[in-house]
Order: sequence, then C-alpha cells, then structure tokens
Amino acid sequence: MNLRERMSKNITRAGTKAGDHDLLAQTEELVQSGLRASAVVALTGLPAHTVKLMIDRDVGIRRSGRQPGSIERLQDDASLRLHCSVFVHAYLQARERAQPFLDARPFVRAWRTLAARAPAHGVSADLYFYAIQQVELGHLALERCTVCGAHFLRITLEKDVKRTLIGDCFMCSYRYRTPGRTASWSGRELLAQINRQN
Amino acid sequence: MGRGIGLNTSRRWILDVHGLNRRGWSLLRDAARLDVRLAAQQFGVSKRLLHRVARLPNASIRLLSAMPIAQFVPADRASLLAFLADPDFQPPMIGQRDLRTGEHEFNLHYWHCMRAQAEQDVVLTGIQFHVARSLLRRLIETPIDRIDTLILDLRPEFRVLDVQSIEVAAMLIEAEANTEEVAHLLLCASTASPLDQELQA
Repeated sequence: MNLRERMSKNITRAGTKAGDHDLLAQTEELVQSGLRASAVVALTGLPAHTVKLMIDRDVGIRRSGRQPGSIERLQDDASLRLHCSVFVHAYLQARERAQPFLDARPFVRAWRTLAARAPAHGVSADLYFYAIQQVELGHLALERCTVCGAHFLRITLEKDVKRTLIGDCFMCSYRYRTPGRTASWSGRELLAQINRQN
Repeated sequence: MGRGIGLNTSRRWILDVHGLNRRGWSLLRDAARLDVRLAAQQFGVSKRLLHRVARLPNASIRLLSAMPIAQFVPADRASLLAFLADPDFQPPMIGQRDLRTGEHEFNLHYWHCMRAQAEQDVVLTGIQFHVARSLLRRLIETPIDRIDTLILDLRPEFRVLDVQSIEVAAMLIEAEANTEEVAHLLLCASTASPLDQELQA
C-alpha cells in the first residue's frame, strides 16, 4: 500500500516506506513551483489538508482553486502556446506508463526540463497543468509538424472556439530576418537545416 | 537534499548540465582558435563550423548551452552500446590522437556526471542529455573503471559531441541575430525530432 492509499485510509501508525520519500519530495517541488492546491492533489493523490499545510508552510499564500487557463488564452498568446508545447512534449517523453495520466513524477521532470531550457519563462505552473488536463480530455493534441519535425499543440475542439488554429505549425510560420540580407528565412527552412542528417 | 549548499536538487542538476555544455563549447572554440585543421580532426566536425564557433562570444555560448539540440552527446550510439555491453569488444581504431588535458578532463567530467545523474533518474537524464535510455541503463551497469578505460583511450567514434544539430545555431549567432530570437528558435527546435529517425522507428 503506498503513501496515498495509507493516508486516504486514515491509518495513523503507518510505518515509513522507501517510496514515501520520493512522493513527498515531488510534492514539495510542486508546491514550490507555485501550483495551486487542487492541482497538487490531483497529481500526487495526497489529501488536500496535507497539501494545504505544505503550501502554508512553504509558499505562505494559497491560490484560489479557480481554473487559470482557457483555450482562448492559448490561442491569443503565441509565446504561451510555445512554452506549453515544449512542456507537454517533455511531459509525454517523461512518462513511463500511459496510466495514470496525471502523475506527479513526469510533471516534475517536465517542469525541470523547462526550467533548464527557458529559465525565465515566467509562465505559472497552473497553466501547464491546464494544458496537460486539456490534452488528457482531448481538447488539445500534441502534433508533429511533417515539414520541420517540431511538435506543436493543436486545438482539436470544434465547438465554442472562436478561431481554430488548424493549419501550419506556428514554428514554421516564424520569419527570421537577417540584418544584412533582404530575403528572410522561414523557421521551416532553419529547422530543416537543423534536422538535416550529416 | 542539497540544502547544505543552498541549492535544491533540480537547480544543482541544471547547473551541472549547463556547465558541462558551456565547458564543451568553450573547449571547441579554444581549439578552433588555436588550429582549425587540428580541431577538425580532433572533434570530428567540419572546418566551416569551426570557423563560426571560433568567433562566438561568451554570451552566445551561454545561450547555446541551455539547449539540448546544441549539446555534446555521444555520437555513435551503436558501437558505444557494444562497447558497454561486451567487455571484449574492441572498437575499430581510426587513428591515434592525444587528448589535451582540458579535453580529457572534460570528457571525464561529462561521463561521470551523466552516470551519476542517470543513477538518480534515468528518464530525466535521457531528456536532458538527449541520450537513449538504453544507453544510460547500460552505463549504470558498467563498472567505473570500464568507463575510465573508455575515456582514457577515447577513440574518435566515442567522442562526446553531436555535430548534426549545431551548425544552424552557430550560424544564427554569427549573423548577430537578436538574442531573444535565437532563444525562441532554439526553444522551438528543442521539441523537434529528426525526420529520418522517425522513419527508422
């Protein structure tokens, strides 16, 4: 019986197990990343009371449980979409099993990967959690561009969406202008060169 | 967990990986500045690339070292796996080369760092070092003196440098692009997987 089961069964005199340390360390990292309590509960399976106590201790202020993201926000903000794509890509890579989809360990790994690649991304962990949830629900899909090989989030929702972003991957549509040259390179050409096998 | 030196585990881990990459880039740059032809033989990269790398300022190297596409990774995975799996395996010699002290120390540090981090978390190390998980599992099982052998007579096919993906990055920097633009494109490209690899899999 793992920690989350023992705590949910309210067993008071349970001994410590080897796996407990990992789970608590992951929870601590999630709490320190600024994730809201309900998301930490969904990822770790610890009781809400425990998680709230940890947030009170480490962060000091608790966020509301309100959903922070929306599909519109993802549509409007290209930089947010890029960061979410990188995060979801790392998350899916870091998963060892398909189930359960919401698991603390790949989330922590993806968070660390993003912190390494883009230290000043400034996007809250709540929004990444939102993106993961939407991927699980099937409203967002991580797709691979057939031209450049990069991954991007596509909105699969048909209803209640103002504009659909079906079409080009936003990385390919990027234009890079060199100061001295008149013609600009598309991101597609650049990435094709990066991926070229020597 | 790392509280003693004021850094938590993930922060220290990121510093390690970035530091390794930065060291590798500066080694490449120093070698290119000294002698392009010799550096091309030693690192197994094109002279065209080395001419670009020789002109990189420190800020650009810092930028490049954050991204796995511009990373120093074991190049030839098949023969590397064979070397780690079979104690009697003799990789084909291409040519003798003497490593400079700096490069030798870098290789030593790189392999041991990768092994130590793989012992902690194989999956995360695989993502960050851009290395297959099977290679890392093999690396953990291999005794340390065997890895030292690998490093001591490091043959060109075991070099710790991925040549494929760094040409364009260096080209962008050379063109004096906006730092934010370069960072943006590098971040985009970090999710890209080569088209050829996809076909093979």
